[in-house]
Amino acid sequence: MTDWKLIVDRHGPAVWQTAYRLLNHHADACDCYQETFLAAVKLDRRQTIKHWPAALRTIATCRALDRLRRRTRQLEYTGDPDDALPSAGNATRPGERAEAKELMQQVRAALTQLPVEQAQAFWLQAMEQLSYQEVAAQMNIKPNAVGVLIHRARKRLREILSPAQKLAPTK
Amino acid sequence: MMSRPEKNQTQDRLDQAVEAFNQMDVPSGPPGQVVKRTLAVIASESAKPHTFNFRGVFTMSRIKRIAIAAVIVLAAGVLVSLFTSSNGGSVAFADVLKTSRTVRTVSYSYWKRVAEKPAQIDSILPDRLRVTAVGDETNVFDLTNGKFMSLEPGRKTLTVFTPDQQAWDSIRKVIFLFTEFQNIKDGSKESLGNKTIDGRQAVGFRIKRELPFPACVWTVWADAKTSLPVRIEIAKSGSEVFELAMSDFRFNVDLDESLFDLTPPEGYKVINK
Repeated sequence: MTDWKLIVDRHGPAVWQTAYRLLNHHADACDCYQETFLAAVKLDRRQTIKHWPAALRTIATCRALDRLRRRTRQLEYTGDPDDALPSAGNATRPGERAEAKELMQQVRAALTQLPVEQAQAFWLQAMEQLSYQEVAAQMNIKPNAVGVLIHRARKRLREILSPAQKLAPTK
Repeated sequence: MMSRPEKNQTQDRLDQAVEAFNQMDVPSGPPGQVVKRTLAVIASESAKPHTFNFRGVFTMSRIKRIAIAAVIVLAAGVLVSLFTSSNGGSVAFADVLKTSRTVRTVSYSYWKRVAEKPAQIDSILPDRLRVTAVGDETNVFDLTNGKFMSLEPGRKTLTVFTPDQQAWDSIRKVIFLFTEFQNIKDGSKESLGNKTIDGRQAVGFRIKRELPFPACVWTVWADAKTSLPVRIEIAKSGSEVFELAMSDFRFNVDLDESLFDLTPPEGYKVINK
């Protein structure tokens, strides 16, 4: 019998971190948090979950990316919904903060343009600090395939973030 | 030669973005109410019966899928052979209705969703019915003389009602449910296949009706051998939870006439309404 209270207490903050960093929107992050645990209950019924932190971060990443894509489709991505909230971390000077925010905004938008698996593998490895083996286990693929996905994701992200792309019309 | 520094510059931008994300100040959260709501949703989801998720099949390894498919085919074969050898095939809803219409008396447990325990129903069809509730009350309905009585042994009172036609129509819809079932026309229905209900092999049907309340769905499970109902559930359309249910049927049992006697027991105060 899974002790959900314990799991929510222990891993809830990490799920929240993942959801918020990707979505940068309070209400969306709350919904994503709830969806993640609901999906975890269903997953727990189907299989034994060996590594809860990785499993929950993976689910949260999937859900948040889904939500990000939907949001992008619904309204052209013009800025971070929670722009008013502090979000640029340790960038101390106002100029650095603004630049970091803009950069993160561009990456969020760019992630919605990647194939789902590429975006997921990239985020889990680069932002959630999961190893290739952990990503592979969570995505049910081989570690080599994770390497390929991440390589392609980085390549495409660099293309999107390049100055030439930046100057191109956004539509 | 010009592309090298440009590539480095964009590579830096990606690395910078990763660093910015990793250093991002995330507001503390989630709010307590979201955690509470999430735990409530988890509790509700955990309470649901387990259903097989077909999507999971597509993420399984090929060998696992082949093994599962082989087991399913084998199990299906065994079930088909068992089923066909034991009762000779499936039952049509028309058979269930036809057989049910021949029933003279019926006794069953009558469940309301909100009730903790069922009431006992005994009925001489089509017009006399007794409801023995779990609590301290018994109701006897007699359509032949247009009366029903409510017996409360705790208070030693017997209330006799003489409803008008409109009230009887309502009573018939809600109380005389087996008669309502007998009156169903063999129209549009959905087949639910086979299932073991109360230890018996049953065949299921789902019918949309406007009785006993608007837009409801009757789920009828009938014994594959006798074609008589073993369980009937009535739910609001779109809901998976039944509002009313009938089970533990006994058909054509000799019911004592005294069960439906409207004569006041000795020492009871009679109230006429």
